[in-house]
Amino acid sequence: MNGWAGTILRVDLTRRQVRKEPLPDRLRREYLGGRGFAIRLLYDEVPPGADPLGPENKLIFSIGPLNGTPIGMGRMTVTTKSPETGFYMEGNSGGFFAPELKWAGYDMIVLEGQADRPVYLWIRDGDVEIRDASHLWGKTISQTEQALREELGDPEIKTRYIGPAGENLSNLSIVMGEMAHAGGRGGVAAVMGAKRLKAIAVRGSGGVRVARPKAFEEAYETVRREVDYRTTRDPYVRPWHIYGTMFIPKMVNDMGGFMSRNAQEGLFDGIARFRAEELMRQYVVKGRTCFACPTASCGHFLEVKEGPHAGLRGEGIQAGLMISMGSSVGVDDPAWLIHINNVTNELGLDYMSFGTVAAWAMEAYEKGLLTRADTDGLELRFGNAAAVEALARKISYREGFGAVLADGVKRAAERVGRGTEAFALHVKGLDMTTIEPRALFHMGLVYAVNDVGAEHPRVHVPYPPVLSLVPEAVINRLPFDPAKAFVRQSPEQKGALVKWLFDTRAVLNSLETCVFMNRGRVYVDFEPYAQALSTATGEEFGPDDLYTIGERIVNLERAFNVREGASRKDDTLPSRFLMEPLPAGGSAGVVVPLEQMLDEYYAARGWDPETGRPRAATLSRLGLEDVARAIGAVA
Amino acid sequence: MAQKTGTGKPRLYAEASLCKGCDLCVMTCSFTNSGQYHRDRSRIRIFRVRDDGVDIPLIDCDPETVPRCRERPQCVYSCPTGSLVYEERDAFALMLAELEAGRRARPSYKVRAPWTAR
Repeated sequence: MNGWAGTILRVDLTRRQVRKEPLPDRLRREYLGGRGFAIRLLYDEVPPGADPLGPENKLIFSIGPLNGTPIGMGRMTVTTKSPETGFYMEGNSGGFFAPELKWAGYDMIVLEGQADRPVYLWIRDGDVEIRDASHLWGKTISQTEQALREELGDPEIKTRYIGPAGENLSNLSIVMGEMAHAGGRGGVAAVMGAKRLKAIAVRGSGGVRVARPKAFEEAYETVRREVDYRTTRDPYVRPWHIYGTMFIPKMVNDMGGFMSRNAQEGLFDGIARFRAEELMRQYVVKGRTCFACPTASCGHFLEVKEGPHAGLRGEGIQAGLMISMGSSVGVDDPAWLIHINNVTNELGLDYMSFGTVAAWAMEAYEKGLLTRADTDGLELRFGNAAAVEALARKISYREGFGAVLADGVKRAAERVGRGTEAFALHVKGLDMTTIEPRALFHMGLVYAVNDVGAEHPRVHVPYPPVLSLVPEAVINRLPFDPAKAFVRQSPEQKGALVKWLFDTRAVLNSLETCVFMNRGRVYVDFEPYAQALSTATGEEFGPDDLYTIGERIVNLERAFNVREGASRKDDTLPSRFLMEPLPAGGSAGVVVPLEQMLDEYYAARGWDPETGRPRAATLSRLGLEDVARAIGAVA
Repeated sequence: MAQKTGTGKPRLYAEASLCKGCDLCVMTCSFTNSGQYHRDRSRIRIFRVRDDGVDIPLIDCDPETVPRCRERPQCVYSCPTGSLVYEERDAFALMLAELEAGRRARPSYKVRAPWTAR
């Protein structure tokens, strides 16, 4: 087979059995790969009402037909039913696991059941073993990586694992890999912990064949040219090559949307210390990217040379870190950021969810709704970095006040009460992430309707496309008016825009390819991706086929949630974004006009506006008649 | 592009401080040789000690012997950082000296050399 590996690896952790299944044709044609494969399987095999932490739930790692080639880069998907939201959950991560899995010969790993004691999975081409991991349980991420390399006798293993936070079933945990890569928040790592699966290690000695090499190479060149340093005509690309996302905070602060102090403010007074050029000069040693990335350095290898953290090394300061562990909690020390990144990585703790919880606790503390009696004596004022670090450990081990926080901000606020629910920032129970909805109204809609909850990566990076790079024929066929849709603080055209963003992003998550590199012409025009896919697999796909697959995937994700009881009432935002304008800066004075955008979204989707459910006609058009019946879709 | 100053034959060099260990060169080389993306079909291997920030391309190739690579080695063309260079020895030594000196004034030279092909 070209492109796809052609094999699903099923791992029954209860019976300690492994089986391999051929990849069904229908799955390839209708769901493409990666995220698409995973939702179809999850919907078909995890019944409504299944206990996310029980043996009925499944944990799925999946990749697509372009993984293992340079277009795939390091991107892969992990999917499950979330113990934090009770709904569908999906995470995307990078690094080097995805190509290795393809070269080992698999498109998916489906983890089923529950082991009775800690295990890990070792995949070496066709040889797959479930091995004892009791000696690994309790280890931090780097300890686990090191132990696996030694035990398996191979420093080049590629890995996915959980740390203490996942072992202790915290919803703030995240699945880590290759030391510094992460993806799968919202309780995904807790599901892995509940299955007592500590790690997966993989090595593949195969490769990827493409059906028409010369034509594939041309398609690759077409895509790559859009994002190469010398040839790109998209102004957002060059800074990315050098700084990754480090350049974003200044831009966002200038816009007045730099989430500060639990989103009470949009300007951060510490911004001067977060300038990308300074970070580059002081801390960067060399570049780091995922597999086959065409940028010079999206992540970075860092070293702290002076001060209390002198000698510290780490990888990756991203914009999210600078907000979650920076402005959100009132800390402006870049060296400390490198330190806390290492700390949370080692614990297998998601700094983004953790940052939202910490910021909530700080606001509560400053308002006198939490006292030192509640917080084990910690002074939870904004800016107290040591307290943040202490919280990270307490949460990961469910110690003291950490046990109150470990299940996420929604449950923490329910436990504490005293009016703290008013500023517990989550959607559908998933802790908020770091893009300010009052600065970008379309993101308000995204956060509200996203089927995983408050998560931003399931749409494009929120900078507008450069339409001059897109063929006019393609622009004319867009289902929204770009002149209005990209006006950031207007509700107009946002429903249609967000539908299109979700659908096209579902395609990128299924090919798979990296959304950071989805800029220039290919942000809007998917013809080059369709070419790459067709020439790689030998099967014809056009851009419209891809859009349909994307739409199908998003509808099935919604149907999974509807089956679990989701409805329009879950498509909402924290009241802070609906009722409290930012006090100062370039986004001040407005709140998110959600209801109007919601109505337009449901209309664009072909969903019933009263219930938020896909209509039967929409599902039928996508070949999902069985799903329409199962969820009782109205005509 | 190789400068022909007449002081010698250009060779493939790899500047380790610029190597981010992404395997793009490995993939491109394998594809050039075989039409497949397969580590074993590449003339390049990356030696990594990733946790220490060490990535060293190990190249076993004379581009003169590869038709597609004679004018422009495909690995050099694929590299986003400028780590791979096809140059005469003295010219390369000069480039490295300028890179080193340039890093003080232009920290971006830590991740990307000014001479990248792309």
